[in-house]
Amino acid sequence: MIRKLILPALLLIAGSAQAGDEAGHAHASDADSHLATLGDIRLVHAWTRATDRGEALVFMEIEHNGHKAATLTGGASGIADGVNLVAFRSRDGNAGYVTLPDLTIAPGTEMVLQPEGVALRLTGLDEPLVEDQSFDMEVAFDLGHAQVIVQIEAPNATRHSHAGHAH
Amino acid sequence: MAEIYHALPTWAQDVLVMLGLLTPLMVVGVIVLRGFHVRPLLVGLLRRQVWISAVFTALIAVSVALGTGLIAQERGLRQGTARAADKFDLIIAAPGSEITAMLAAVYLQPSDLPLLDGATYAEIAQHPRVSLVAPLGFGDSWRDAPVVGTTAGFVDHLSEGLAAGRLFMTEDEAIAGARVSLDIGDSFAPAHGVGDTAEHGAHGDFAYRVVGKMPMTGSPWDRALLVPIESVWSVHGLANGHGPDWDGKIGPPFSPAHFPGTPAALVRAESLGATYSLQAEFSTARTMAFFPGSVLARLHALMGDIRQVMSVLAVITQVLVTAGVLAGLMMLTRLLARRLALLRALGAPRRFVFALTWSYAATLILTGAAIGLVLGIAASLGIGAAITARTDIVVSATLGWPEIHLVAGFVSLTGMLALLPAYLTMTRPLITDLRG
Amino acid sequence: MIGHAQKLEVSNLRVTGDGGRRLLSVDRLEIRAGSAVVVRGPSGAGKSTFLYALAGMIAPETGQICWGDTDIAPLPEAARAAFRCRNMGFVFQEHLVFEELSAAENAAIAALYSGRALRGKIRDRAATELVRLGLGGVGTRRSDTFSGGERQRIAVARALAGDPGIILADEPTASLDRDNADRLAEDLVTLARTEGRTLIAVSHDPALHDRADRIIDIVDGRLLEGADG
Repeated sequence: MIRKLILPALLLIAGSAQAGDEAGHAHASDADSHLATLGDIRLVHAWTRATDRGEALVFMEIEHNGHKAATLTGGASGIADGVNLVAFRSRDGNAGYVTLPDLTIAPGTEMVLQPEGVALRLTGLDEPLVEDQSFDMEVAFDLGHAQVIVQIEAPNATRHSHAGHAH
Repeated sequence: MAEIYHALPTWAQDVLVMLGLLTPLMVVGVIVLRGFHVRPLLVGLLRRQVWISAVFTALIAVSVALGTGLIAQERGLRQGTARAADKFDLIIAAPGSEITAMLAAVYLQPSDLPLLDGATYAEIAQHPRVSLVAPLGFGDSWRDAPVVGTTAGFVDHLSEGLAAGRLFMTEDEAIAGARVSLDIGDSFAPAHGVGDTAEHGAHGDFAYRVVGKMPMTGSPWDRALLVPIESVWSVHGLANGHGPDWDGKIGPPFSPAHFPGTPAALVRAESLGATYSLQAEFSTARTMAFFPGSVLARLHALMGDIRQVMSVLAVITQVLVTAGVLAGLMMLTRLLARRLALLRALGAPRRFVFALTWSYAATLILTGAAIGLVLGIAASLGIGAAITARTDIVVSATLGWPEIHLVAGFVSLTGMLALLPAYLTMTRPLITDLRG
Repeated sequence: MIGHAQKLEVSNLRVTGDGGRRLLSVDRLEIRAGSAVVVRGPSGAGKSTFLYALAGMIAPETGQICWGDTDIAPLPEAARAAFRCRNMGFVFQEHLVFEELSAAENAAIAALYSGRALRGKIRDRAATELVRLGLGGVGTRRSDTFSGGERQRIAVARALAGDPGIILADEPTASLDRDNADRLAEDLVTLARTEGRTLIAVSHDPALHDRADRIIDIVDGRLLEGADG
């Protein structure tokens, strides 16, 4: 029996939008602002969305090239009262972000902080975040801290403007 | 100010927004009706023009129903599809399209997926942070019910306790979903494939016996038949997942060398954080790991623009209908001109005539909007039932704040527009109208 | 009896219609407070225009219309309406009641727009007038259940409910049969006289002519009668 697939019809339209941007582009001058390191850990393309709501989610790609598991614990920023680790969860038809105490990153894996996934939530922002500006932020691990520069993208951005570019 | 607002609980914010939207109408109402008692004449007017009033009210009600029904329905569908994915924390499959894998594993929409091999499955099963892993092997069916090979552990997780009977213990036992037309003790023979292309009798005389019934889950799994994964492999002439020294007890652990493969595996970890760690670990060249809830949420966000457009269209429709109604009211005021002139001749101030006309229009708008709200919910309940019948996803439509805000904004806006016909009645020539 | 009847003094009144046509021209007119006056003339002579100008429903081009001490001619429309509401009762040719309202609601219509303070008073007076006009006990019946004559009496009760010093009537008996017309003419003049109100009625009805203190003729927008009171 052929079931009318209302869901798939809608989802497959959107499916084409899921094709990743995997083309590699080399960066010349601004490579450093997109990359930070802490030992064997590389933090790439930290970004967030422009907002005036007093809180924001920061996303990035974390590559762990070491041999021992690392634990992401949170962060800090001069422009926010607090930074904590949150994860997306959908329950009973309602979706939102819940706080995580920490997050284990196994060696040889890449942890992508992205919308509807894991993120670092800044609360108590002093000022609105304006598109095309950036700010400093500290990302905390059990091994230490890394300083990243967070790029502020459009209010409805779904990825870093340079996502997919190799560093 | 914004900080105070954002610090409020969500329901308080919604109430504030609703009051804010209604404020213009309330302010106008207080100013217009100040010092007057329009009710007897208003009731008289409604009685006298009962059919026209009913038609105008019905037009407004239908347009409001369309708008609110649309919004409620969309939300019901979004939440229904999300709820259906609640039990599927993490799906691990062979690399490919997350959406295709999700449609197959969560919503049981048939698809040809590459398989995870035994070694990969064993790696997942042996991971220290995994608390449950279950294969999901589809491909067979009975009538319109997909037959899914899995473990008793998955059935227990999905159902949170069977409604009747017990979990399967041998290869020929099955668990039926709540809406499958089979009861405990019934037998069925699986067909190879699904839908119109299913091959009946492809598996010879083999038949399953139903030993348990699941409670309603509100998902496509209510129409599924769950069987031991071993039997799915066996009926297809493959190894049954266990080595030569198998003790005959179905279920894990499986032997990697005798594991034919599975299109997807459900994985649960000890905590949300651990699940995300697992997702990162199993996002490799050989495996794809994703949260159905997140994939769904991203798709809903993508369709958010469509939702915005729908909302705007709904508002425009309502405003257009009301503009039509108000144009009709302007014509109606010509019919009422003599009576309104009589009031002015008797000494009623022009403001009274203005108040009477405006309150007549406002009554039609408010009544129409209230009826429309109720109709909209009823309509979306009906549509939701139809969608549930088609997709097995339980869609429930309830009255939500977005609809209330829509209606509040609508009555305020059209209440302001109604000032125009009221103004026109006020400025009509008195003697001409009096003479008729 | 004078009561709170108002004296009328009109001077240099000119009313012009659309297109500049002169509709009414009154050099001088005085009407004693408390008198019953009938205005008559051929069709199109300007009788109704005269009445509406006295009621403040038309703004004259020039002139004075003084009711007591108040010249209503230069007042803005809202002020003229307020004066009319407080001081005048109007009876029309075709009763013009609101059919879906009861007799009592029609008679007390002014209560709806006269402010809370006066509401009760107007309702009480309206009920009293209905009784006096022979419609006691039926106040709650819908007005469309009454005969033409009864509806006109409801209109008279309405005119009196605000206790006005002035009653203006435009052909009040024209749409009634003979018996009802006589009865209404008698009621109008008696009520005006006994309660001290100035009555000015436009009418062709001899029943009113016979009972009036004074008759004014209008032809082509001009008064034929003199200016004495």
